[in-house]
Amino acid sequence: MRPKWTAAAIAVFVATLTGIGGAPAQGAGLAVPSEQDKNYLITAHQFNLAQIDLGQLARLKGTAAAVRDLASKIVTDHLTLDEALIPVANQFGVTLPASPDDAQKVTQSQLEAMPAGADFDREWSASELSTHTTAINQGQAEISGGTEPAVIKLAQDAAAILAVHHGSLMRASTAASPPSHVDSGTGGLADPRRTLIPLAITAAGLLLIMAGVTLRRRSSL
Amino acid sequence: MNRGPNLMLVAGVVLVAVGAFGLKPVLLPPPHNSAPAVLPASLGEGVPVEITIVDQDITAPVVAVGTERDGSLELPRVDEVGWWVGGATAADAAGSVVLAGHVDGRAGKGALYMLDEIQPGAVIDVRTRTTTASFSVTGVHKYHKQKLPAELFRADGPHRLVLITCGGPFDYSTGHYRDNLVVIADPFSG
Repeated sequence: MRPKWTAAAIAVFVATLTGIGGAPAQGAGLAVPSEQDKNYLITAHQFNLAQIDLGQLARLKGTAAAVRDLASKIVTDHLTLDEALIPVANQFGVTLPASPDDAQKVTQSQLEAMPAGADFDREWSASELSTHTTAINQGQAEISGGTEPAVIKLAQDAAAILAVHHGSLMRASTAASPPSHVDSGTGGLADPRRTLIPLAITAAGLLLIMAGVTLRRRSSL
Repeated sequence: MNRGPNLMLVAGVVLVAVGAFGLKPVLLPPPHNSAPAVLPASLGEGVPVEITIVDQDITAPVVAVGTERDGSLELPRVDEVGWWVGGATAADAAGSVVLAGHVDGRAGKGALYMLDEIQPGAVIDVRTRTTTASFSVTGVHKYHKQKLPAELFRADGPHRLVLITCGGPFDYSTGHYRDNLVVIADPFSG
């Protein structure tokens, strides 16, 4: 059976590979990031962990090929983003959580409880669209209000990737709810019967004129 | 003197005038010459930004639209055409590029008012930010609004253009048309 990699396990694995899984560097040269930088590193890391878990879930459970493909891309991209984030957090002595936050865990549980099908695709893509919007806003806050260039660079790199995810999620979310009807006219100008009444009135008028002319000719004889 | 014939003549002239007024064509809104709407780049390079129905000399800007909560397709302004975000883009290899626009509105004719006159073989150009994709009309269909085939919105079927507006008799009590007019067009490299 194919092993299921959890986000936390992947985070530990990535940290081990990069050799920075232990205690943060100590000493006089340790830079002190701002609260904004710290918060960004923590929330972005937890978002990455949540996306890896949610992506893996949809990769297995998604019904639409577009959802499964997007889920795979989300897993790959957030693994890459977290690989870049962890060394920077260690560089600044920021302790990263080992799991997604409580709200993200609740979302994961709710989606795990759903059966595979169109409803799952719709819920997953709508939820992901919403959380990506939040993540994009958090990234913009770091880009405009952060202090450490290395952290700001992380936010800038993530922004381009999140924008692509957002666009794809917008399409997947909409595709999961195809329209049932199209209300594209409220004027009545294109009603094929619209010309019949004026035609009938015109015809009646012409008949009256012809009758009037005929009667006048007869009365003048 | 018998006034009957004269009254008939006057009444006839009045009726002809009233009828002719009802038949007079309603002027189309002026061509939309403003720059096409800017869509999020993340939606892809193939996102339509403008449509031209070549035979009818109609050009309209295209904006991205979704699905409303009541299940209806979101529609843009009366002089614009909407690209359904859940469908294919003009650059995709598969799926329906779904475009929809008003036949009319309370203020006058819509961007797709003339769509019911389109003929098989007519060319429709869909411009994206980087290129133009041409489609050739292969069919014109009319469906009751509540029976619009879900198959029209498939993202995994053959690549084609699906152009939708309203048609059929207008229900003055509800303010809506009974039918949807659907034009299907296949990719065409002219």
